[in-house]
Formats: sequence, structure tokens, C-alpha cells
Amino acid sequence: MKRLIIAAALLAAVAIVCAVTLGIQMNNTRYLLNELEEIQQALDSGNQELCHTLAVDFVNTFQEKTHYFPLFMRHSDIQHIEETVAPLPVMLEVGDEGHFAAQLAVCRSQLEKLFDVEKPLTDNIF
Amino acid sequence: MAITAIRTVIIYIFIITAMRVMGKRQLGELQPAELVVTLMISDLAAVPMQESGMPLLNGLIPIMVLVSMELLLSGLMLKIPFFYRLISGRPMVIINNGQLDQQALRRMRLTISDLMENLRGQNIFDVDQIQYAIAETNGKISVQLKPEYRQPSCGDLNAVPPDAGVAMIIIDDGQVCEWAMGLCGVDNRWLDKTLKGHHTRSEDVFLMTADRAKKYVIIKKDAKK
Repeated sequence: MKRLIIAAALLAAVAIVCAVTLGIQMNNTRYLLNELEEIQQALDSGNQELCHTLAVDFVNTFQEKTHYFPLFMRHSDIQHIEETVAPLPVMLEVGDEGHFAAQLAVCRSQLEKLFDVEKPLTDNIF
Repeated sequence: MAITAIRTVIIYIFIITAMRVMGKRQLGELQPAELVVTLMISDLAAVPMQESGMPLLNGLIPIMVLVSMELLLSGLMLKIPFFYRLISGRPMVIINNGQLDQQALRRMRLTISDLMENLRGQNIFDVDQIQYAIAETNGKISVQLKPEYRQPSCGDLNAVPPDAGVAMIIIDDGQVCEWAMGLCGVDNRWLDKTLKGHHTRSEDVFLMTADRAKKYVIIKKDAKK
């Protein structure tokens, strides 16, 4: 009986860890996607200054929001997105708006994948 | 490098704890389900140890799930016989009253060479000496010889010796084991008296064993060079 209780406690602990990590990941990724949306709107409206400010903020927010991701996600998955995010403000500073828009799209796609990757869906399980 | 070392220590402690929680069954003869769990745990533990780019949790969570599943399954197997039969199968009689059951061998996909190899491992070279051979659920083959080939027991010879119990280690490298003394029915007074009789102290004894009949053996420590 004692071992059955231990087994149930272990399973409960696993379920809690899974739920907490999934919650942290989805909330933070959703926040980052919303920020990206704001940058996109600023870019579409032609407001370069606001776009640059938001891009600089986004780089910092990304670091902050993904700080605990390596605890439960492959480090390489986060590193790929980090490499896409880091040059965003620099692209605007050198006036490379075309590349900036493309890089923004890549970043959005990577974050959308990150949002879904840990969801217990059939696609992810199999 | 330091990360790998630290991770290895964490995983080592975790696996030791996991094996302890799973109990002694995991360390003895393994049933099929237990073998699978043991193999999977060893494999899972190796990955986060070597790959520092993988979160430690990715290795620990599956191990926790496997341990709890194994505990639940063994609990169910204990309570519900159907689960035991489902997971472990049934023992199968290969030789029944001296007759080799060829169909049973075929069902188990066991060749006669495999059987003979196993029997030779048990010091049986002639299949004709066997009355019963049973393939157990853990893969071992238990054998009962025909009466004429069995070793006679003390009971058969009407020469039953007094039961002195098992000889237990009372002193192990100078350390007195109170638990073993309880099993042998001896106390500290008896121990002190016995040691005094040999002009020694427990700290100077390398090994002392005793049984319930108070028969003992003392091996003193070698003098330090």
C-alpha cells in the first residue's frame, strides 16, 4: 500500500510539473507573440521610431520571458529563436526594412511553433 | 564538463532512489515488465547525462513515470491475479512426469539445445533423470529429478541435526551488529564475556559470527605494520 501511495504521489508530481511548465511556456510565448504583433503594426504604419523602440524592448522581453525555458525545453530550440530575435533592432538601425519584415515573419513562425510544441496533441505525441 | 559531472551525480542519486523505491524485486530475477523498465531507465538516464543541451527534467520525468507505472503495475499484479497472468504469463511444464512436452517447447520457441544448455548449467546432463521441468515466468527452468537421482536429505536418513539457525555476523571489522545479535539470541553480556575469554575487544575483531546454538567464530584483525 505504501508503494502504491508513492506511485500515486509520483504521478501527481509529474502531472503538476507538466502542467506548470506548459502553463509557463504558453503564457510567455503568447505574450511574446502579442509583442511581435505590435511591432508588425508599427512597421505597417511606417512609424520607424516606435518600431525600433518596440524591437529593442522585444529583445529584452524575450530574454526575460524565456529565462526558465531551458529547464524544460531543449536548449537548441530556444537558441534558434534567440538568433532570429537578436538582430531585429540592428536591421532597423542600418535601414534594412525588407530584411526586418522577413526576420519578423520568421520569428513569429518560430514562436508559433514553440507555442504548440509541448501541447499534448496527437500531432506532438506521435 | 562540470555540468556533465553535476548532472551525473544528480541522476545517480535519482536512479538509486528510484531502484530503492521499486524494491528488492527489481534487483533479483526480473519479470518481463521489470526487465523492460530497468532497461528503459538505464537508457533514459544516459541521455541527459551526455547531452548538456537537454534539460535534466526531460530525463527525470520519464524515469518518475516509469517508476510509478512499475509500482502501480506490481501493486495490481499482487492484488489482481489476472494482471499477474497478463503481464508475467504462467509457468509452463516442459517435462511432465518424465515425458518431454515437445509442443510446450515449440510454444516457448525453445530448442532442445537451449533446454539441454540450461540443464547442464544446473549440473544435469541426462534428460532421463528429470521427472518435472518447469519454465518459470522469469525465464528460469526449475527441475525436479526422479526420486532415484535425488540427493537424500537428513530427514530421509533419519539423522536430523539440531537446528542452530543461521550463522550471523556479530562483529564486522570492529563494528558490533546489534540486529544480528538479536537474531542469534545473544546479548552484550554474552559478547563481552566471550571476547574477554579470547583476551580481545570488539574493536580488535575483524570478523565474529555466531548462531543460535551460541557456536561462534572469531577472527582477529591483523597487527598493523
